[in-house]
Amino acid sequence: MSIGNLFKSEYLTHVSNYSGDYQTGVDYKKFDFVYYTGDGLFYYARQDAVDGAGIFIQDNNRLSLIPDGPMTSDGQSHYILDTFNLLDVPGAEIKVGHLLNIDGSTGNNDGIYKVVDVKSDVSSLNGNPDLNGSVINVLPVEGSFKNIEPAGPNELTVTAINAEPSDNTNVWAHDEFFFDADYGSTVNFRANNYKYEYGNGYYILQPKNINSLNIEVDLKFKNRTNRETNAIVHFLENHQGQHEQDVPSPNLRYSQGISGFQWDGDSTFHPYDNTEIQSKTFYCNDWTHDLNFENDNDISVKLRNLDTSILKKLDGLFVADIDEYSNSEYYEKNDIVYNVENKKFYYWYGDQSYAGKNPTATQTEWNRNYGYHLDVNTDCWSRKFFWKPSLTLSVSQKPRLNEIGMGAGYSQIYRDGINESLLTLELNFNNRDDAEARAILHFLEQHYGAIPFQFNPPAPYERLKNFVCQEWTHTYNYKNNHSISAKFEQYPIEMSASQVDNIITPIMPIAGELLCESPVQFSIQGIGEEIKIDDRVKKRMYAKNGGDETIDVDAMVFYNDNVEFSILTQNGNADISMIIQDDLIADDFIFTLPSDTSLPFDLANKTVRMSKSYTEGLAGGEIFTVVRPDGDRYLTDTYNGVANKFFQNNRGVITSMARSQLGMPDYFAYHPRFLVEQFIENNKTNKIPAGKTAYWCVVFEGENTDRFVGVSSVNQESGSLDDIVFVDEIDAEFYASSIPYDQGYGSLLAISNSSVYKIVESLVNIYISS
Amino acid sequence: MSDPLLRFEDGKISIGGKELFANSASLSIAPNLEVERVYGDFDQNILGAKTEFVKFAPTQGLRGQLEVSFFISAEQFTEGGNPNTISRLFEIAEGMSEQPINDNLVGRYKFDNMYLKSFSFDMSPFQIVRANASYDIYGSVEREIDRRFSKSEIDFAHSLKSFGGISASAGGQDDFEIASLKYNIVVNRKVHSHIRANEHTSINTRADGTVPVRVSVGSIEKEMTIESNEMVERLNVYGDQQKSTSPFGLSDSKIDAFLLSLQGERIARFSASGKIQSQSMNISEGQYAKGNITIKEIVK
Repeated sequence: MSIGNLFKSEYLTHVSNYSGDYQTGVDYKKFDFVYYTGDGLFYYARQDAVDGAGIFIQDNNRLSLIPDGPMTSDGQSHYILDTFNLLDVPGAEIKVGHLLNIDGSTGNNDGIYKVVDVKSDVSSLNGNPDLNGSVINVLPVEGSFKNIEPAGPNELTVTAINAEPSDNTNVWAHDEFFFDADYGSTVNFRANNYKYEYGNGYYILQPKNINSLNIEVDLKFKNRTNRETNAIVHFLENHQGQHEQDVPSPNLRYSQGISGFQWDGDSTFHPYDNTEIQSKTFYCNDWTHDLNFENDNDISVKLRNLDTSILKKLDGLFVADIDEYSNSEYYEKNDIVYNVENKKFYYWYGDQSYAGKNPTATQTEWNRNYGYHLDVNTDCWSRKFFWKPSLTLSVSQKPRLNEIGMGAGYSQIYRDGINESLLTLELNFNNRDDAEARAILHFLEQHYGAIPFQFNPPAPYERLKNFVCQEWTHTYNYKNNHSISAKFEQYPIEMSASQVDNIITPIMPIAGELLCESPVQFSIQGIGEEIKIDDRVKKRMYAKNGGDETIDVDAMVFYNDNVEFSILTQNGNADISMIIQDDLIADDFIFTLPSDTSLPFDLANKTVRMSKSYTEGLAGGEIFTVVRPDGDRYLTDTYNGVANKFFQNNRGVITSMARSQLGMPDYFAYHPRFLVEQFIENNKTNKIPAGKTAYWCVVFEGENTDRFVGVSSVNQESGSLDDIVFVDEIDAEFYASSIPYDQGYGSLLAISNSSVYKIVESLVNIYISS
Repeated sequence: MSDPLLRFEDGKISIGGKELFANSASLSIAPNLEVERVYGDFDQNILGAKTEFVKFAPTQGLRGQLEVSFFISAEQFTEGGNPNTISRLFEIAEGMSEQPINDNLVGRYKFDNMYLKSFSFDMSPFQIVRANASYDIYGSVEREIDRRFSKSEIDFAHSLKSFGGISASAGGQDDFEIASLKYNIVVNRKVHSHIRANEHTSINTRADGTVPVRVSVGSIEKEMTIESNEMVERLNVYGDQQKSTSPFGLSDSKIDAFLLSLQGERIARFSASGKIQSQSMNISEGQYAKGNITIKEIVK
């Protein structure tokens, strides 16, 4: 071997590569592995990889697709029937192992399928003499046959596809450990905790870090062929960092180490057969290979995972896919649910199956014993470890005592406080079915070796006690048969699960707190479109309830300074016109415009759907679509074939989007009424729920101000030509702005039952251009 | 209503679709169940926890055995003039297979997934040659309609015409008169089941349940024993007959058996070539001296 080759990953394993480099046009058997020169990586055949050999059938009135093939251990198989019975002619010689791509199906049957059997001259498929010809029995790889599709006029295409390693993950694996282990494989769990002891037997356990719960999967492969064994050992040897892009350094970045591999779905088993665990990274640096006979090998492989964060409890650490509690679901023993009310898992304890048994009832007052959520239906749901251990159990005790040595070999023994003999139980839960094993394993992992739980040991130790479990082992004995051994260590303080949850007093909820944005800037001097003194402009103004209780807004009062502001649709200070958009449903955005005949584009009495989106600024606004009812839904109305939509900007200009799109003149018109007014009237409220944001529309009523005099050409006092001059009602005073703008102010006082400030003031200002 | 008791004549026995003229067959199937008991609640009477029986839990798939004793006949084991189909049927010639023997029938019951463990036969004067085969079976059995064995002019292998011979390492076949002969071949198999291969719910739709993914063939050893008038003289520590001054370069000893029907039709030939494992000589009043010589061949 040359020095150059020594550093090529192709040669960095002990196991010989009998298949060599991947060759197009060569058939490979399951467990063959090849070096793919395209990317310099090794690939392992998950299944027989049969070269497509250019097989291509494209025809109509020839191929029938029949979903009802034999049920196999790999799932439902299907039939492709060649009614021409011509699968032995050149170009159509389909054989077992081929991957077929079916295209052009009208029965939703397109996809990729693996050939498991081919028969010619079949006279009666599935007992139906009308189904005769050559039959290809296939298993789905991607897609499935959803409908019977007799040979018909549509052109079906069947192509035997090549399984290039880099682009066919169904056939070739690179980083997925897909080897199917034997019964007897085990999974070992161990929690890494700090133990703080306080004397008198009291202690607490604290996870050392967020990745404190580690698993080691001990997979057994017995009686394996040399072909499979070679692939397994080569895979493991080949995942020791040979292919990492970064050069190892003493100062590794966190993500710079060995990237490991995935424990593939073809290898994971109950209850770890979930996408959560299949997306984790595993490593293996400990395996044993026994060469028993000429084609008989035993392999033991230890897979490790190092980065399962206990903060991801909700997703499941290793046992995943737990559904939320549903009131309509019937539950039975060992079912697990996630209760969204208190964010805890509950385990069905009862022997009977029921629906409508909530695990908790929400309480108005926090209580040390159960917080806000009292466990109810405790004859059904439990958070205790209720599973009964198998025979036999050995209990040994070694009480903690003090001993003082005296002269002449005399010793005196005396008591060392309380809790002198906490129990340690090595419990076995043997021969448990899938559901019970899953529930036990889920229960243990959710306590991640540090949270105590209640367990009633066998008599005479049967008093309900608290235990922690820092290590446990799961063995998959046989189908639907699992054994779990666990070490339970007694915890000296006796608490229920609810009490454990509520050791820490929660932060008490605060009353509603009204937070209004301030200042609200209608326009900015010298930036963007200008606002004229006689404009009528609206703008949304936002407020939020930052507390934990609903706020009632009792009054909104505008104290205007030198300009006139109002709140859209408000009729008196006590008329609150707030919208809580998050609380609205789709139908709330549909309303009928008033019968105001002055509305342009024949909009009077029209039913419209207002868009939820809103754009700020003078050119911004809302979109309205004219709709018409159709049963219990609304259909978009059209104008000359175009959706009849309107946009009203914040100045009040209504644009017919349909007319604009059709190139028609007069597609926009000003109207002093904002179309959104009816929406506000329909949905306005004076209540802001906790955490919610409210808005209302502030309108600059430039044309209505009676204090506006106009542009004076005379500098009456300090003003100069072209200044905007404001005077009060009796013209007694005037204010002159700097040229050419002036800033107007208003302040909005919102009066509420907010806990912090009953009255909140927001400054509203506007720059007005001459 | 159940079927009447099955008469022996109506109890067809076939292996791999091939009928056998059996004189006995024993079929057994059993699950492997473990008793699961747990600690129950406190009981005042015993002042401790009651033991609760929970269930029988399966620890392996269904496993059974078939022991069949049958007569070797020319009709059944000669096809197209080839007399050695018996070797092929029992895969002795090919050194056994990992493939299951399917399409088997014993009486009213058919089953698949059967694997040969051992095959043997005896030859003794004036006797029909009787063979025994032993199999492991995985999975369940299904009931079939009664199928009667179709009688024909059976021409059994008969010891009157069949013959055997032994050649010791350093001697010829003429040294021994064979009174009886036994042939036995044993295959050691290992079995395992994958987890994922059996996770699909369709497994539960059949009584068979999980069947092994692989029943591998391990060591194969065959042994032939003859009863004869002589022993092998000068047997050395290597199991060879050593008449020369060196124990090296000696040939293996060999026993051959040629099975012929009473009509003289050749049926099969069996042999074992290897080392002499044991021999003995018995002499008793009113009897001739009888020697026993056993030769073992390691096939694999």
